[in-house]
Amino acid sequence: MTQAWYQVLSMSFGYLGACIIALIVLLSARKVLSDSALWRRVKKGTPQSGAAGVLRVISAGNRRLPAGTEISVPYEGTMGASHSCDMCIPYRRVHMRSAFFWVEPGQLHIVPLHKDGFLVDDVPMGPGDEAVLRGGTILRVGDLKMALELDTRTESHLPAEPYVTSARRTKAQQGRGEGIGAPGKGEMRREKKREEKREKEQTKKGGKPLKKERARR
Amino acid sequence: MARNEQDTAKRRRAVRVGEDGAADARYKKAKEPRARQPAKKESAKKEPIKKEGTKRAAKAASARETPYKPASSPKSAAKAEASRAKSASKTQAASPRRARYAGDGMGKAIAPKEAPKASRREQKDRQKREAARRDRARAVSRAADAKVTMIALLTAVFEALGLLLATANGAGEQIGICFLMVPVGLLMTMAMPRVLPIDPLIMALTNFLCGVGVVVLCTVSPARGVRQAEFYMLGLVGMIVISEIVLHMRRFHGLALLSMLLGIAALILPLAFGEWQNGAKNWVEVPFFGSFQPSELVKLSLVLSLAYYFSTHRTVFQMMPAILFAAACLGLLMLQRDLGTALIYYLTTLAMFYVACGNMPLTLIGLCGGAGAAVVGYKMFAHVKVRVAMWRNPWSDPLDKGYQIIQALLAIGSGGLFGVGLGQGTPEQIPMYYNDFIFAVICEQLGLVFGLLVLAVYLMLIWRGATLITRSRRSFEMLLGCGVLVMLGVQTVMIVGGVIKMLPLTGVTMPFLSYGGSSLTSCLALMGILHGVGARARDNMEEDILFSKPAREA
Amino acid sequence: MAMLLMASAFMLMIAYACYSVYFYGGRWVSNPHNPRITSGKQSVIMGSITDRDGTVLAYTDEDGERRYNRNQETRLAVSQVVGDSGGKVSTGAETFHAQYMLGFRASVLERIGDALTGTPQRGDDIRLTVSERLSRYIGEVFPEGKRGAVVVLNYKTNEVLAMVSMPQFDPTDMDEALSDEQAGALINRATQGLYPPGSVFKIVTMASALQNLPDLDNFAFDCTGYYPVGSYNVTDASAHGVQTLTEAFVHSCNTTFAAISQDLGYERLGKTAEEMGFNENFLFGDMIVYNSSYPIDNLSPEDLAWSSIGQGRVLTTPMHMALIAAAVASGGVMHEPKLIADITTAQGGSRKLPSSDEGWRVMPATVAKTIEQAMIRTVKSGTGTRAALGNGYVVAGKTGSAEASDDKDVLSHAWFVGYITNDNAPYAVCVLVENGGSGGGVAAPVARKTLQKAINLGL
Repeated sequence: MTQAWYQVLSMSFGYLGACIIALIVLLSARKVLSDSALWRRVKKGTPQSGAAGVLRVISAGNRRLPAGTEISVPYEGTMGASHSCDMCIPYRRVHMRSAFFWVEPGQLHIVPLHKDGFLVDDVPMGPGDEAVLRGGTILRVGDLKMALELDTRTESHLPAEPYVTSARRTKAQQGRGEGIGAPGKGEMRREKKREEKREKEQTKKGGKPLKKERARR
Repeated sequence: MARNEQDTAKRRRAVRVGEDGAADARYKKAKEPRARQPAKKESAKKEPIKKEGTKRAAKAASARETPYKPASSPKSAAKAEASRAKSASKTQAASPRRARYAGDGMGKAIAPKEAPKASRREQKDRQKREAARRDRARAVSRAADAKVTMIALLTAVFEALGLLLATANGAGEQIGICFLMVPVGLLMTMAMPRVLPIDPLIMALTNFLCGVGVVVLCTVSPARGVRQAEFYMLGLVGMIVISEIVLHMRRFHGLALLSMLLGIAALILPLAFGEWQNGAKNWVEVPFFGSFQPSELVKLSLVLSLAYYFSTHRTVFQMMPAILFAAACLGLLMLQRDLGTALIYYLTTLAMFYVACGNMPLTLIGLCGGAGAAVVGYKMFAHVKVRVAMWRNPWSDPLDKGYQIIQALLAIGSGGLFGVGLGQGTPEQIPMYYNDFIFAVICEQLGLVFGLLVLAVYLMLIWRGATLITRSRRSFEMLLGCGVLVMLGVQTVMIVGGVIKMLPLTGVTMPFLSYGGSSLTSCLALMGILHGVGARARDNMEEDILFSKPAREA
Repeated sequence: MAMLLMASAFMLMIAYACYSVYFYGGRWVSNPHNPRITSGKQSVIMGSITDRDGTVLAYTDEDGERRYNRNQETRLAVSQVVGDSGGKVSTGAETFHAQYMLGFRASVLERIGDALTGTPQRGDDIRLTVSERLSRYIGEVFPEGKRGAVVVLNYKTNEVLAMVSMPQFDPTDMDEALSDEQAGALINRATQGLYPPGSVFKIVTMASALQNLPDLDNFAFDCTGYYPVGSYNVTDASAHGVQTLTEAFVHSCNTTFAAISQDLGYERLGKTAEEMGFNENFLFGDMIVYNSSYPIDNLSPEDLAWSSIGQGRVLTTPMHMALIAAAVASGGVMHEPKLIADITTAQGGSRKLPSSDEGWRVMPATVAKTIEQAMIRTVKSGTGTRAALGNGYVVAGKTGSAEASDDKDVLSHAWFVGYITNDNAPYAVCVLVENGGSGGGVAAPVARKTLQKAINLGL
């Protein structure tokens, strides 16, 4: 083969290569898009995908959280009253960014960041503790009671019962634990006042008076 | 990114579809007239779907040569699956017994669930259906579709023709082993995704990029091309191993610790035993293996340890081990005078930190610190000064310091839109043409259009990776994939920007294309991480499909 | 977000690559450091260069040697435009357009033709727009022993009819040119020589004044021979007395323009200058023209005054001034100059050149008209009377004598910029004689002879 013919071939290969790579880019873009569409369809078909379970409100905390409300639990993230949290619990006793959590097979691990008085099956947890919750565990703060329902998919045979780290549990048994998670007296008073004020405004407007919220103790 | 996903899930607050619910829905569904699913035009063209559901299982068993293939084309099957699931959930919502779980569940009381009784035979049937559905779910998510097949074939054509040209150009018999890349590439793209945790599209694109690298190297420097092809095979093995690890391993604590220790040790190696080469001391000689660059392989351990610590720990203090490790790596790289790689490490760390905790102020502080370090480096190292000066005006010293960049620009300019042809031109004029400056060689020989589309291929790779990591349920996986993508992107931008004189030149390799065993192997290994993450997402999707579809074949 | 950032970085990179290759790609190829040109010459038969009438200026003979026109005067006259085969003159066509002559732009179809016939590859032939006869004549009439440059443009077609730089060199005898580098024969002064424009710059100042200052009709300035700006005096050769702007232009009165510059301010004058192409990176496809510079940093009022009369830190090339004259001639629209008339491929086809630009407006048509009137008066009764042509040809022009040194013994650079207003002879000219003396005395006669010759040749 002569040099000239080689040049012709190699130059045509340049054109061919450009066509091939352009096709590849187009095809891959279409593949990415079609795959994303498939993913979206699957997600539409599975309401729970992306979530490991729900927290169901059993007894109402306030009007925004009536009994029966379901708060979906993602596989991990943060929990708090703020809307930016992955698990949003709009309740006054819950801190804006109260805890972070993650789901392991059959269990939800929660590590609180603040003292907002969460009780796990009546055992209090404080900042830094690691609480392990199973499906059916009751999470309580103030009047708000929530039951955890984990997906059957995430269940496994591992832990026997929910626990809050051992140190915390001894404290609870000794009867000292209760105080730690609870709000102080001043805070309670302020909150009561706030509640009364709101109630007054509500009656002024002529709306239904709020159901008075009982303090926890 | 994962957060967005979770947010949408959170807002949905929707009904839970359980196994008992599924049975119930089936009961309801049987009474209703079976709705025919409208098939989309394009899927209908390929293989029109006449009947949904009933005969699907039988069809799947008989008409298909492979058990995993769906009854119709994967697309339409998925569509049908999805829409059926939709109708199922609608039925549930309509059913009064499920209504208490529907909507917001405002003020509804909770009643115990009733599970329908099932006879033994029904149970057996159910198990069978289970298996069939699982197979179908796998088929939907793992099907090799026409587009990827097409990409694989195009790549094979490109490689085969390019290598033939290289042979004709004088490379001769010696590049025979490179032809092995064609079947290996086809195998990896078309068959392996069924059995291995490999994402077909990423594999196809990676394969194409490596193919381009080998073809170009074979024409300009056949011996290097052969070696590159060998390292490609080695890298594929590494990639598969790592993707299996990422897919199956559950606890990464030990691995992260181990990789950190090994990483530090590996980075000390060249300082202890290496030689100064091109103003850097980043190579080390290893018996039976030749020379290799530890900083390339340490990228793996950096991504792994950062992802582990950033995902399991939420405060900066707890993240410290990983940050310290990254800082130690940076320090060692500075000692090696390998500033380009140091920059990649630094930017990757910063990006992962931001993605992990979204802490903008701290990220900005880190960025400012980096800028400060860059200024100090500029003042301290003479060769950095030279590089910046040559970036600003390479024509001031066209025969000595600006020679490399000028020759690269001349090569790009001489190539024109469609190149001077494979094996033509004089790319050997550019120092390090086979390595850092392979982009200029590609632009000269195959043209600017090809070069820019190569960048588009990288972009596709990153886009695909980004869609995969947003599907992961764990922030660990997300961070792992994110680190890989950031590393890939930053490295490409740095070297291509350097070659076209958009950024100061930093001596890093071009991922997949550049000659270099360590570089290619580490890039493929990084892709292995992405494959693993993608495979987890794929498994999740299969689970979702399985979970959402009530079996209705009976 | 990180992904978005990265995607945008990629897009930026792609855009930058497109931009730089589009604008600079040709320059990179024709760079003398490009090894492909020397290696290409060994495998490809280089095409020939002809002038606009078909006179062969450079060609490759049967032995593959590069040959030039047999006539030494012709070789000398077009030496800067054609350049040399060794790439010593990087702006010459031999280097700058080598990509055509070496067949870098040949398409695969043409290569198939070569392969079929079995002939070795031959590059394209280039026909330049310059006229060898006009260039030779300019070399004859240029003041003996002086350096300088002459540019002749056709302002209708934007073709460069002649581009002569003195001193010249002989491409067949490069040793001599190289041995005397002090003479600077290898520099094309028309495009690469940066000189202070002197009074010629008043075209720009006047355009700025006409656009920005109100009621210039009633403008009158009493020239007393000097005008104090800050701590300096801008001086004039003589006191011109009370005069209008046009009269000041005709008599090239420095003090009037210094005063106007103070009214205009550095911002408005700078804007007009930049519109006219000062400080702009000329990226012409056919030739490399160095950037003219105009200071916009507002150093002091004195600096502004000096800038307005083309002294101080203002620097320009003869080609740029010729373009400004052509812009005035064509109603305020500047065009890219063309040096290549056409390219013929080895197979006889013609290669498509990048389409010529639409031009860009540098001043309103009315302003151009007013300046034209002033320039016509300059040649009729002002400083440029020696450029006037007979036979009904009306010449518009402006002279300039730019002081190149503080030393009074060093003669000033003599400038003449002008054009013929007649439609049947659309020629613009720019003459620069380095240290030639006064523009009206030295440069204007050269311009007149050049224009007359161009008319006679009927280009």
